Amino acid sequence: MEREEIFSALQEIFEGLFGEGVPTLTDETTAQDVDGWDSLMHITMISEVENRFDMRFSMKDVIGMKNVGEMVDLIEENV
Amino acid sequence: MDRSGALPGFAKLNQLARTPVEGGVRLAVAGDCATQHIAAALRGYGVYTDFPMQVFDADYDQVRAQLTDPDSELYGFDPAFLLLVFSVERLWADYCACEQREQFAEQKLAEIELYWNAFHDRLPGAKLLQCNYPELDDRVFGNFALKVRSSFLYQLRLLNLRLCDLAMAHPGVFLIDLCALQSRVGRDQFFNSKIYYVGKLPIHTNCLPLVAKEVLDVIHAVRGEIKKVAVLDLDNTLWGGVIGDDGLAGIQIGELGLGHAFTEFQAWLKELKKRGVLLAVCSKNTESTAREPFEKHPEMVLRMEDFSIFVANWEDKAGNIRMIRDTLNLGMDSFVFIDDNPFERELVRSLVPGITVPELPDDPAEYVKYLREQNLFETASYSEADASRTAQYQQEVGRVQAQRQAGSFDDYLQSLDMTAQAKPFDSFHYPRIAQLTQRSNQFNLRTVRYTEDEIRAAAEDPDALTLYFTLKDKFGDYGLISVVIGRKQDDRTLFVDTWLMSCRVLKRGMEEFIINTLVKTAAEQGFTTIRAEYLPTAKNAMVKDIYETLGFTALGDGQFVCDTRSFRENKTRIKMED
Amino acid sequence: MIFTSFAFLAFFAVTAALYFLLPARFRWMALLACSMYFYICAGFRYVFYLLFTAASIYLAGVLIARQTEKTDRWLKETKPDKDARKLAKQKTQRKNRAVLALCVCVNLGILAVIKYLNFGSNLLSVFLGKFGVALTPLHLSFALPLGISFYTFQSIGYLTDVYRGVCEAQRNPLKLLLFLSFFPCVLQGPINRYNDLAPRLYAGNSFSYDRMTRGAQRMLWGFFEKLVIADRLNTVVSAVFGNSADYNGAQLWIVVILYAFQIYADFQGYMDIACGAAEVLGIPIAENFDSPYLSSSVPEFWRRWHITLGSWFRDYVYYPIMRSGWFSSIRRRTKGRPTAKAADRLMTVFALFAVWGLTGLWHGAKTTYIAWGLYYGLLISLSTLLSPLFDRIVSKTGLDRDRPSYRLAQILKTFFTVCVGYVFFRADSLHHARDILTQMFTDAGASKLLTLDLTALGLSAKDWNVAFLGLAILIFVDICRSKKLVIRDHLRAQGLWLRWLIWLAGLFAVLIYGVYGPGYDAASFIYFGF
Repeated sequence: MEREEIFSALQEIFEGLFGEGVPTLTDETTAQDVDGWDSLMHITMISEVENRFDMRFSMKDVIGMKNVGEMVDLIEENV
Repeated sequence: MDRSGALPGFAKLNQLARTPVEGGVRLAVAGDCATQHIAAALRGYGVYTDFPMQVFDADYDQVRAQLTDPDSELYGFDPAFLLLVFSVERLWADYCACEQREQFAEQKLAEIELYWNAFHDRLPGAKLLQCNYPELDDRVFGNFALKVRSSFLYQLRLLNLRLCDLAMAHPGVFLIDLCALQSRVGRDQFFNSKIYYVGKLPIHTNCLPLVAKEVLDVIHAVRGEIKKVAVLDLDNTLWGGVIGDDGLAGIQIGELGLGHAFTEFQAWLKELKKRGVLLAVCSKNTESTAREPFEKHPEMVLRMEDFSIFVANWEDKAGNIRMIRDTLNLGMDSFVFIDDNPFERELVRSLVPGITVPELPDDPAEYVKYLREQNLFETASYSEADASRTAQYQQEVGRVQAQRQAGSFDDYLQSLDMTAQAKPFDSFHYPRIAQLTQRSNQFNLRTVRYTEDEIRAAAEDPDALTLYFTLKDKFGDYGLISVVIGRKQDDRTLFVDTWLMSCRVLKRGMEEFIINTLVKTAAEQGFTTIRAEYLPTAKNAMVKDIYETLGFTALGDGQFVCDTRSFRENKTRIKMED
Repeated sequence: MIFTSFAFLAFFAVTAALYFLLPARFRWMALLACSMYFYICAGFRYVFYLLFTAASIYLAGVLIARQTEKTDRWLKETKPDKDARKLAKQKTQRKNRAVLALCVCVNLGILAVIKYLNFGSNLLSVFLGKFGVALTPLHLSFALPLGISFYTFQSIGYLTDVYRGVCEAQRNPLKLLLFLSFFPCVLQGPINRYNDLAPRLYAGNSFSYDRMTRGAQRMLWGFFEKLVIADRLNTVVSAVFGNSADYNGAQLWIVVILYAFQIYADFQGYMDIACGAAEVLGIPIAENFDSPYLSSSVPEFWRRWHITLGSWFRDYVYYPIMRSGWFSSIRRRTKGRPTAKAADRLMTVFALFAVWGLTGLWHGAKTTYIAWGLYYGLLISLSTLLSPLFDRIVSKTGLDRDRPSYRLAQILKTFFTVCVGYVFFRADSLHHARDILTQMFTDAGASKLLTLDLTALGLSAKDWNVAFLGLAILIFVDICRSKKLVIRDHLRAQGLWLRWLIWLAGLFAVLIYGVYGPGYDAASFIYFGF
């Protein structure tokens, strides 16, 4: 799967979770850029991403990922 | 509304949870874990099923603080329901810290009862929904845990079992069986360590829609919104094959092959019938052909006497279902229609509003599993009388036929030889009385719901006048069919707090008999005035004018009054049984 | 063969009959044959452009799929370590990207030459003329193949999806040709996504009476929108825009608003006919509208108006620009510095203007379309930049955003903003647009509004009544749509008599009140030209 495709799937998931106001996701997008991305939503988002790509993040990844780019890297590696 | 079908995922519910909702049922959620996701799932599920709800979420691990402080935010919210979620992970931590492990379950139980009592002391009318514990085997003893009384697994199972006992003693508490839910979906699906460690959420977000459905099922049942009738198709639903084409010997039923699946399905339906769900047949068949298997096939589990009503003809099903509704005299939203044919299902769904039509799987082997998962027949009460309900409704069908033969309606009533009893509440009947107050929607003047505890309190209250009524006729015994609770307002005035009646005995002269008896009893106890009230709901329009018809004076705005000294007895064909 | 002609209805009846009479596995071939016939009817020469695009896209798709498969097989067989894996993947990706770029360039090149060459050389000569360089602008005459902008975009979308791994490459060239030429969509969109359309397009759908009636009902509604509303309003709009100087500002406002409804009824009417026809065949095609005039902001309007074009530009232009390596490196370089936010905003604005300039240009080789596109680029940039500030102001004033009156005000604001945009869209030239706007904003006093004489605009009183009744129904239907009420289902639940009465009334309304030109064929659709 190509990064662009992962991005567009993520964009869809994010719009579902955080509403239409989500900015365009880029490698550099962080939790501060998205309204409502708190620790609770983080869990929801993680399990949505896992469902969508049929993969599992490790606990370390969940806590450690700094931005959307790192998440896309992890997805790319695992899918 | 129709609550069957595939559930939306948690993300969807979470999105729906943001929809503003006005009014509705007030539900508080508290637990020893993070409950925000659970509250969001409940909120979203309410929106999804068109069931308005206000959900309050007590913060993480606030059970003790919120329940023991009478001025807490939770009590300020004034919930009608409280959902308590305790996680088995916390239980295990508590167990590790516990010294007397053989007593662990009992100690925990005492703590839980403390919460229940605190809640009901503060809000006696509210209902408490307690989740039990999903199972967790810590494998400290391995399988040998089952032989060690102090093992965690033993104590956990004991605790779940003792919770059942405790809940039986608390009529205001209902259990939510998370343990069964977990064994249905599997531990791996139910619990995700990462989600638990990061978010302290002991239930996988993917499972939350199922949990929300389970909770809402119980809330609906407690509110009396339950399914009472299963309307069944025959060919390829109750047996494999088509009786008209394949003949008695050709249909699939019994222990062999696909027949086994149908046998199990029938056995499940028979259990539902024993619990009090009415079974009705609605099939496109010639009647004699359709009856034959139930009368002659040796391996048929269901028999003719299991059905309250049997309709087999070539008319369209929607019309037949309406006819069944009119004969049984129950609301359409208490009907479930089970048919293997998607076309018939779609037709009934679109033409019979209110009815629930589960999307039966294509494979008959999945029928029972699927219908069990749907949990359509949740209930909030059970009494011995439920088991004989089918017989009562069969008598009813006999009466309908007698009526068609009788010359005039009065002749018909006369021919029924009806006798009735009127007695103050006694402990033997508390469960049935409470159940009636929970279930009656149509002939119910004020729709006040009572638990068994509250019924007992009313019976023992010297300022309350309680009466229950039974009725029988030559076709059979209706049992307890009406309840009246009067409250003393002052020395001379009695207020009718509750009057409800089973719709099965409508238009028999029972209404007249009850009011005659009530006025007479009140007069004997020295009351000169009876005040009564009609509170409209979505379903009880039929009794809007009943007091006026029976000799009360309308004061407007749903208020009625009657002077016991000048009251003239209503005419009725029912005699008092001695 | 225009949708609103009797020829089309006859063609469609034959197509449907052929489709359902053939065995299931041949049905897609019937569709292809009929679609090709339909397209040939529009002009024999055009077919070659379509065939060329289909062939090039087909080859490129298969090539990309082969290369990816080869790499995957190699990875599976040799199981190299992580770095080698990455390297191999990158290599394939580079190759594939080259194929994609080449094929996209060729097809966009055809589009550019046919549609934009004259316009471009014209602009250039004007520009150079300012510096004293004389250049004769080109006047090559090409036949503009119908629907070229639509099918070119659809095929680029398909190829990009193959490249991104979103969809499988279609190995049967005829099936791919059907995807690009499916007759309800080929002339005027919607721009379908391969994954959404393909499964049902190639499956031999069985006949369903229910689908047929629902489809026919939707087509009827489309005819109503087009013939009764859009073509009636067209008389007024053409007359007034043709001689705008003769009318005062108030009249122009009315006509611009009417134009908003005309273009909507026209395009949505086309869509309803297309979707209805496809529904009869059991093939759901993408929706293009979601009650756009009930939007409460301009960005929302564009999520609900010509949805497939907007989402095409979003997925294949806007997101790629925003996520490009070039933008990423700027973000990384400014990270943590005070300029980070400004840089981010600048990039967003740049991407938005690029997208909207192109969106305008897509509609045609005219400066007015570009101006119209940039108008939206400006509005949406402003709304993106200012919305946080605006949100703060609203929450400070304590206005309740869910209040119906607030929403209504937002909807009206959006609608008028869109109307102003239509002046650019409809005007003959930028000067013309400027003149109209000047009149609208300086010459529309209350007295002029009050003394407005509608019959002076070229329609009789009877026609006005029909038009207003039609608009009222249109708005009602839109409100129902936005509340997720499906009118067809509600009518279905009515009794037999009432149901048929309503549908027959609809049919006769179209027959009697439809505006028909010579030969009983209606006017062309507005989006035909794009």
